Amino acid sequence: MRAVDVDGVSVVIIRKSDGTYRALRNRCAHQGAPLSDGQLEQLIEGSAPGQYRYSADRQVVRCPYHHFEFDIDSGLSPADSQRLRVRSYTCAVSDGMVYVER
Amino acid sequence: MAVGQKASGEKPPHDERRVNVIDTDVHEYFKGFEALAPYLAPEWRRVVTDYGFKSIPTGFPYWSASIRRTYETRHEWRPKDGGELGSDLELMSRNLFDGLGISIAITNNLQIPVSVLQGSYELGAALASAYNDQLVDAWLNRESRLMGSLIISIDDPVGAAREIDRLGGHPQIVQVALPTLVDRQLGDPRYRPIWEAMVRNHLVLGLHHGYGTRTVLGYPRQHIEWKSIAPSHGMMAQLSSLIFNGVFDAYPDFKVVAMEAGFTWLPYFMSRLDQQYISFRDQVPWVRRRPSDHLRSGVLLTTQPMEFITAKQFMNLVDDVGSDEMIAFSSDYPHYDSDVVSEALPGGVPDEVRAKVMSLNALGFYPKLQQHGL
Repeated sequence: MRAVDVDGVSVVIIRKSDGTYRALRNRCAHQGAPLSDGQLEQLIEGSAPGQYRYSADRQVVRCPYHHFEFDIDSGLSPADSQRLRVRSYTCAVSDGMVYVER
Repeated sequence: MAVGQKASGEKPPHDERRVNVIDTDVHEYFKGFEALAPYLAPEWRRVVTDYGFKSIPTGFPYWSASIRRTYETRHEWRPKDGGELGSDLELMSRNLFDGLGISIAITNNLQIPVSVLQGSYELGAALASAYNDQLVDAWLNRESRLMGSLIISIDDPVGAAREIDRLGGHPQIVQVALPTLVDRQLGDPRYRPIWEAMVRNHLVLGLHHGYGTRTVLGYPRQHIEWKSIAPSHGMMAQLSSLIFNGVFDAYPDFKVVAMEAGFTWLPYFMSRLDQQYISFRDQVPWVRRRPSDHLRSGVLLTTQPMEFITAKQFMNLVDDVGSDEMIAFSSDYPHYDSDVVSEALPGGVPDEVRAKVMSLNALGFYPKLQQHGL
C-alpha cells in the first residue's frame, strides 16, 4: 500500500491480490489515521463460533489506530456498512502508471 | 513595564495562558522485572534474579489482547531500542508534551497488579515498594510534568498505609492505583487503613481494569466480550461496594478515578443505585447521602475509549447525571486504542464544557495537582 497526494488529498493506493489496483481516501473514518500505515488483509469470515476463514477474493485495509476494517473495493466497513466508510476512487492502469479519478 | 511584558516568574493573565490538557490515563512501562531488582532488598531480589519471577500471573487467556506483531502503527511512539511502547521516558515526554500538546500526564502502571496475587502478599508488597522507588527515581524525578501512582498490596492494609505514608508526600505522587479487583470488595471495612493513609496524603484512588478483572462469567469465550464489558462491570461493582459500605461517608475527602471503564453507563448506574437507596436505606444507614451525590462529588471518570457519541448525546448525558465535572480527558498512551486529543470529544460541545473535560475537572479533583501552578 502506498500513500500518494492527489491534488492535495491523501489517497492510499492498494494492489489487490489479483494484481489490479484500488484507491481509498487515506484517512480513517474514525479519528483520521492514515490507512496506508495499516494492514492489507484478506477479509476474515466464519459462520460458526470458533470458525475462521480467510475470504478468497475480498480484502480489507485495517486502520493502525483502532483496528477498523474497510473493504478495499467499496470502502465500506464490514462491521457497520451504514455508518462507516471511506471514499473509494476509480483506478486505472496505463503505461505503468496508476491513474486515480477524483 | 510595557504592555505585554511580564516580569519573570509572573503568570500571564488567564486569557493569555495556554489552554491546558491534563491526561488522566497514561501507562509507563519499566523494562522487565530486572529493572526493579536494584530497588529490591537482596532477600527479595533473588526472587527476580535467581528464581526468574518476572510477571504477575492473572490467568488471562486471550491471544488477541497482545499487540499484533506486524502492526505498523504509531511509529513515533516506538523506542529506538525496540523496547515496549511507553518504556522510554524521553520519548514518552516528546510524544505526550510536544506531540499531543498535553501539559500534565498522570501515569499508572499495569505491569505490577500485585493485589491480584493469590498466595503470599508479602511478595506483592515487596515488589510494589520496589516499583514505587523505581517510579520516583527513574520517571518522576526526571520529568516534572509526569505525575505518578503508588502501587500497594491490598491484602496488608496496615503495610499499605505505611507505604503510602512513606512516599505519598512526593510532590508528583497524586494517586494510589489498584487494578479493578474481582476477588476483593473494596468497601470492606478491613481496607480502611488504606483510604485513611490516602486521604491524609491528599491522594486519590485510581482504579483501572487489568488482566485479572474477570466478568461475572469469568473469562468469556471471546476476548471481545471481555473487552466490551469487564472494565465497566468491574468498575460499577467496586463503586457500588465503596458507596454502600460507607467509605465516602466515613472519609469526605475520599475520591476515586474510574479509568478506562467508560462513562456512558453512568446515568443508569446513578438512577439504579438511588432507586435502591430510596427503598432500602435502612439496610445501609451508615450511607448518609444519596449514591448519586457521592458519585458526583467523589468520582471522576476518564474519557478513553469513547464510543461514537454526538455532542447532543454527550450534553444529554451531562444533563442526566447532573454534573459537567465528572468526566476528564485521557489518552491511554501508549495503547493502540488511544484517543487523539483533538478527537477526544465530539465537535459541538460548548467551549466551557470542553475546557472542563480537557483540564479543569482533573485540576479540581486531584488535590496534589493544585500544587503545580497550573
